[in-house]
Amino acid sequence: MANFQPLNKNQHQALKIESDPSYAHSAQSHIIPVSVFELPQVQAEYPIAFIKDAETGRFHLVALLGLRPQENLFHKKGGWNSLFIPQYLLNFPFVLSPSADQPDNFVVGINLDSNLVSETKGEALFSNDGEQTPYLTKVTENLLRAHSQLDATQNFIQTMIDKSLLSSQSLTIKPKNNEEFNVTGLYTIDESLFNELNDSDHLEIKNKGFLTAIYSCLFSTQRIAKLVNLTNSK
Amino acid sequence: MTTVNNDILIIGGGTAGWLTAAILAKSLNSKEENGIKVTVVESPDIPIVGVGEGTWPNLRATLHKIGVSETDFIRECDATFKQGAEFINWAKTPEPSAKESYYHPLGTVSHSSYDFNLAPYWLLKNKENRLPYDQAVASQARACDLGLAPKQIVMPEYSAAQEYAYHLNANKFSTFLRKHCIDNLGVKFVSANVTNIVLDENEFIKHVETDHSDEKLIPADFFIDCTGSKGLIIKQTYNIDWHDISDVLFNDTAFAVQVPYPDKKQAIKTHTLSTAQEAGWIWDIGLQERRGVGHVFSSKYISDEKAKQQLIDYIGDDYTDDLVIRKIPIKLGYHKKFWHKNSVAIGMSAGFVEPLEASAIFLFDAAATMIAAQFPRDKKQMPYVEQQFNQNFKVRMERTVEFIKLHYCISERRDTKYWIDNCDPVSIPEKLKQRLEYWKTQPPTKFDFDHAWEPFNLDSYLYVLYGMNYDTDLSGNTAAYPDAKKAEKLFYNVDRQTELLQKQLPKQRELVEKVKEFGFSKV
Amino acid sequence: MNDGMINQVVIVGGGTAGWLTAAKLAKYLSSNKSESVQVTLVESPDIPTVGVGEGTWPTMRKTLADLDIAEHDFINYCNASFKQATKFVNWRTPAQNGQDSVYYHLFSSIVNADEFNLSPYWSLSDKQIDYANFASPQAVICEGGFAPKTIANRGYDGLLNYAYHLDAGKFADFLKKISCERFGVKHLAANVISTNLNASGEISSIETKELGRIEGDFFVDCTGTRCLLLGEALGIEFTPINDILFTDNAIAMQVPYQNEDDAISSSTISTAHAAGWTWDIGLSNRRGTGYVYCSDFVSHDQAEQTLRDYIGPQAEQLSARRIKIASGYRKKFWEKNCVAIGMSAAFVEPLEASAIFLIEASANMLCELFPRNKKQLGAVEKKFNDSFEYRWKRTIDFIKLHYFLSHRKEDFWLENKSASSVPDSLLEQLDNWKYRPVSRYDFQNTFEPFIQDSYQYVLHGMGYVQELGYNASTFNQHHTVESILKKNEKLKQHLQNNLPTNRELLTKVKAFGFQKI
Repeated sequence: MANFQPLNKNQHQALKIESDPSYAHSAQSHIIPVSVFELPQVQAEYPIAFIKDAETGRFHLVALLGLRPQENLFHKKGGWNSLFIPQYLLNFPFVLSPSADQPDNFVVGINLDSNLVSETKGEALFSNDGEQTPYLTKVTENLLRAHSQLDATQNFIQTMIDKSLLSSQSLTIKPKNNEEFNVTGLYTIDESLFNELNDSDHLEIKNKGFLTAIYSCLFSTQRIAKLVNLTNSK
Repeated sequence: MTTVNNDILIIGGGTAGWLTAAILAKSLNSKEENGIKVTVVESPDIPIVGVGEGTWPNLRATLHKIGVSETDFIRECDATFKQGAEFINWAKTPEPSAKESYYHPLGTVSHSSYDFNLAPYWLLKNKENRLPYDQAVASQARACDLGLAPKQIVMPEYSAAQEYAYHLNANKFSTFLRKHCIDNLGVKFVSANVTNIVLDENEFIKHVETDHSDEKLIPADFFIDCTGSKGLIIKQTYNIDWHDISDVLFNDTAFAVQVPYPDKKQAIKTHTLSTAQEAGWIWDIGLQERRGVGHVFSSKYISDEKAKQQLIDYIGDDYTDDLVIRKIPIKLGYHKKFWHKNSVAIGMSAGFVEPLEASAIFLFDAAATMIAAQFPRDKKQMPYVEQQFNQNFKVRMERTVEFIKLHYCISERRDTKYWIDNCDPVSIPEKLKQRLEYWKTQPPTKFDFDHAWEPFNLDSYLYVLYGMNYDTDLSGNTAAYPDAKKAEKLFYNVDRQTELLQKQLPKQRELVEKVKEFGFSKV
Repeated sequence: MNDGMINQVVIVGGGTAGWLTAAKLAKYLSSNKSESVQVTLVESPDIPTVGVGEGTWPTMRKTLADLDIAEHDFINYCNASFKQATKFVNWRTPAQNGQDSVYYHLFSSIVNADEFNLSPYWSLSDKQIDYANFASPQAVICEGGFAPKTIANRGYDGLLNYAYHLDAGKFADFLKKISCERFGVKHLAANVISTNLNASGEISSIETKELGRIEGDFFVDCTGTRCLLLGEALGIEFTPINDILFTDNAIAMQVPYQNEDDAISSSTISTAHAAGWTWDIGLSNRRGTGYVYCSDFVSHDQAEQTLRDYIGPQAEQLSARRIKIASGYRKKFWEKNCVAIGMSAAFVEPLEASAIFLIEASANMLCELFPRNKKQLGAVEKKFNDSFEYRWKRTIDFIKLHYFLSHRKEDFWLENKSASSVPDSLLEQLDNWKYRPVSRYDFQNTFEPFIQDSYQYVLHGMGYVQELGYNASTFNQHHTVESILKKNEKLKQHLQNNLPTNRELLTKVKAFGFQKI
């Protein structure tokens, strides 16, 4: 299913990568992780939430792609139901992993089982003389940038927890032609809690540069309606 | 003589008799073939007292348990919603210009003083500009001021936005319960006067004799005395000692009158008003069709004529000469035991404390509920349950008397001898005295109320103490209350709650009209 | 000591009692502010703590949360594990044909007794299923070694009610750190030589070997069985209760897990033996076991052998410790300006892990009623003494209940059933419960240590026979019972499918901690 291998200019010299405007690899995902830096663009089209990892209890910052597990309302045949694509989707089928012998260094890996990987169609990874193509260089840059943002995202999440700004939400969705159902397990930033922050906490958050992120989260709740619409039009 | 108790006979109707019948018949499954049977013998000639019109929230749970629909109850008993009591002119000698009053709401404070006691934080606020205690800690007090009902029409029966009880028409309530008992709970009704109570050789009651043409002799295993102040069993048969409390609570008479609303659509108060007078106090209860108003006073301190006049003055413009003012003598006190052998007294037969906090119906309900839960099916268990019940209710009566006395003895009123004597330490029960002494420097805490069955708990005492501005001096102890931040948040929540309630809750009259028309849903 | 104000509190003795009281009191009184009441704890650097009290009650969760302690910090530091019940093995009868007789006293029920009492319905049933499994989903969870929560539940919150097993020594250390670093408690290491009283008979100061005189306005005696202040200095006598509860010694051994991934038990295991019972508590890194026994019925050597047999061949490498125990309580716990908390106040065999619970309760009452002025001492003293005398007596009643209902035939057990060793209050209640179910009206005090549900688990678990048949018509809500039982079965399935084992969860707690929300 997922066979991630570190890229190696010898073994993988001939590989070409296709792009998929429908991001089919995410078809079964109802949530994807997002970075704190892309929240202003994310909020325009996706609801943002904090979700607990069942294995660790820790929070992830995510965009909702659907209202029920394994439901992705944005993916459609040949396309995607919005303009902005969060970077997590763009990086597929590549990942960044720590290098086996030098843990502080990273290597680019690729999912060899993906149907986007072939030797015939798409962008080449290496030129004939074994050098990285500009495409691969760009991919590497994107991956490194995404990685560098992880700490900041984690910091943002922790700050929201420490300042007690999160509250758990449960939504009741009433689709047009179907039974209503509940969405639980979501946490969002509570606007009234945020407004009641004392001065010193507020200043601290401002100095950390999180105000935009907080407002992005707050505004994004309006996008739930969009997901309901997409549910109805299925 | 059988070894099990299968038949219960209740002598006397009224609220006590019929409520007890309902609770027992339902809990003990009288409708089932081998369920315990309940019979009520009620005199067709003796009227019920019929002025007990205030209740406590436990009645909601009881009505629900016995299968009564809240909608039917409200429609047939002229009932309205009660959220507490307002005590007017109790703390200080009344001034013509300024009304002084405080609320004792039925809900716990919005956070519950058992989790976090706001009282000390209120005490530490600046006396000049702090809100009165009830307003500071309870959105319900403010809701009462605004005349708001405790729920919306869309809420299911018995559910509450704010904890509530009822004001009800006692006569109609009796009739209503009787019908429910007979039609739905398998209670047998005999309309007759009891002429004799016959004991066996061990002084247990064997049967009663009546003037009924068919049921001349009604045997039973267990007997309940709901004959009011007559006390057919507890007094006239067993002559159980009486504990008189007239040295603590002085009132001995009541004048009661029913006052119609001049305007059928006028607002109905959502709480009981209790206005202190020179030698007593006046109750004012708003039902759907009329008010029940009465003056409870002490004939040792004021003449009947003056007392009647004060009542008429209170009613003011709504008073008309054709209104009938009834005089009811009241004997305050209680029997030293309530359960004796195979009988128990419930209701005014057990005892009576002035209705300042509507404790009567509350206590009947509690007694019947306990007896239902503990009912000794096997006769051998009777002595054990007798002892448990007597002990339990002795405590409940003692604490009720103390709680009522509290309203008097911490008043600053000294305008008449009645008030001077009421505040005299010699008239204050010992346990109350000790508590008050302790509360001079410490506010009440949950540790002061360790009896699980105390009828009035921490919250109730706090409302009365600090509604009356009892001086608990915390100076030098401020460090014991460091959670000022949390307290402020809770005070603030009360403000917000009140705003929300104002937006969401209808007025009392509006809700009652809707209930009459549409009813509450079951879910 | 001027103008009657109490400004300095001196706690003598550390351990769980001393440090838990210090933490709670200092936090409550804001001792880290110089204008507040100051709390000092004087602890001997030489006298070790008893260190075997390792079971707690669910109240400990609130106690820790109120001290602003993160649940995972506590668990990781104190090698704690989750306790959901006490499992009583062979109390009702000894093992027969290799089969143990077992019952659970659980913390959670499918419905609380005061909402709807399932007990009479079980009593009237054919009892195919034991009471614990009838009334709760928690017994199968304990049998399966499951935890009461997942890593995704926030701190102190769980799917089932739970408490902890903890390492007593580490716990005292943990609380010491928090008390001193966060709440302003002053720690003095010194041995107390004597206590000084003033003219009114109050304690004015203590004399220590290393630091001389230490003065205070109010003293807390956490010196354990030595009871240096309340007992020795103030002369309050000890009321022994070994005519009711006979055990007078304990042998304790710590047992390592043989493999790193050995299962950790979800409950305290209490196994009855010929002259007493063994406790078996599973922490995350080792077990704590011990045999509580009466030396009138077994020699110390035999007792140690019983414990070693219980543990198995592993025991050969392990050393044992004998601890003498004196069951009983002080005639008063609070005298003038001194209150005893912990083993100085009372000791009762740890059959239901009541000791730490009563330390929490004592500290709670001390905090909330803390007298700032000496004038208030008298009133608080009375309240405290009355309340705790009641609580200790009821604890003794409840423990005796376990013995009295047993069908075991050894001398120790037969002696335990003699009426002269049973408090009247207990006998009366049992008589009453032969013909009627346990009812909330049987409990008069808001601060009952053991509630209706607890009595029902033990009564039914010990096989006490009730005769309710003649009153069956009163218990006719069969529909309601059926739907509750169905709910219970569903919940058992759901929990078994979704809960991790104790060890799995504790491993994750070390790695990830619990969230605040």
